[in-house]
Amino acid sequence: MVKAKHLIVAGVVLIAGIIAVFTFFQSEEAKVKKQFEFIAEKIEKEPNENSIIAAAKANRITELIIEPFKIIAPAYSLSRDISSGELSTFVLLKRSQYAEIFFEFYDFSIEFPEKDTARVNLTASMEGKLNPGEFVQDFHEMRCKLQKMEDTWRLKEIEIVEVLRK
Amino acid sequence: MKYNIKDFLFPKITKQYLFRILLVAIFTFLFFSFICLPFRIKGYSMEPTYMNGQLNLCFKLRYIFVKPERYNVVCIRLAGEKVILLKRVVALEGDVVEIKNGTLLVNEKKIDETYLRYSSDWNLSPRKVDKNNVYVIGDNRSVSIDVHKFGQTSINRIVGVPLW
Repeated sequence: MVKAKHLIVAGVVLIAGIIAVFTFFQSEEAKVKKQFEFIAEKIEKEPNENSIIAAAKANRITELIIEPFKIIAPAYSLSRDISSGELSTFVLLKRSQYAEIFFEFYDFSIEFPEKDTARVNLTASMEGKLNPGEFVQDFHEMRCKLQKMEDTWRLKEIEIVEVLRK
Repeated sequence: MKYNIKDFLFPKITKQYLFRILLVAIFTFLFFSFICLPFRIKGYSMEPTYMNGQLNLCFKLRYIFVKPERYNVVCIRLAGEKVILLKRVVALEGDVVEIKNGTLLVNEKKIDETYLRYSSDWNLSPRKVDKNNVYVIGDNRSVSIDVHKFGQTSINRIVGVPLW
């Protein structure tokens, strides 16, 4: 007869095995999603964030892009390459306008058209409190192109989809 | 058969009972995923018709056989259905939309908008609604035209209508 002790040990080993599989053998989709979670985390802002943390966060975001990094926003007639320096300044400037930011990505649709290239369609959601205290929320559908470099998925292009065209 | 409150609150876990639970779970999942999608309104763009914080259901079978019509309030998806926009259809494909000093003109005629409660000073030059598109605007036009999200969108993006 199998002792209860053995069953418990088998259960623990099984759970540890499942965790190990998920940790060490992540699918490429999971890795891409994780990068977006990381970006969202760096965009988010807690009240009274100091300037050193703000600069570090902006810097971490720019580490996740590949230059030339292209941004396309038809609603603003914008389509151009931006450098990591420009992006860092833009992120710092935008984040400084808010006292608090909640940021999340939803509804991922991920394709791998060729090796080390991913195309992601998703919804970005931002809720923030402006420095005067006004509450702001914004949603955008985005099409992103990512490339895998040194086992890390990095952003190559972002297009803000115009869902409602004025 | 006689039931008491204890049997009702703490039923015996039988095969039939587990089967019923499974059926209810499957039905609930299918109903709230494919027929009525629950959502909470966040924002003020449809006030006073729909207020910030209200709960509602998006009825997804509404446009299976018919196309959206003018004055319908519709749910518009973005990349998926986690975030949807609630707007009112004001013009259909081929129509020309224009706003003059807050008055909405469709094909150069003022349309009846009884749902509006707040005045606006919006101005928008005439533009034609493309094929398979509809033109949508929120009911609350008291905010700046630059802030309010409105415009034409593909009817393929319309996932349904709010149930109430």
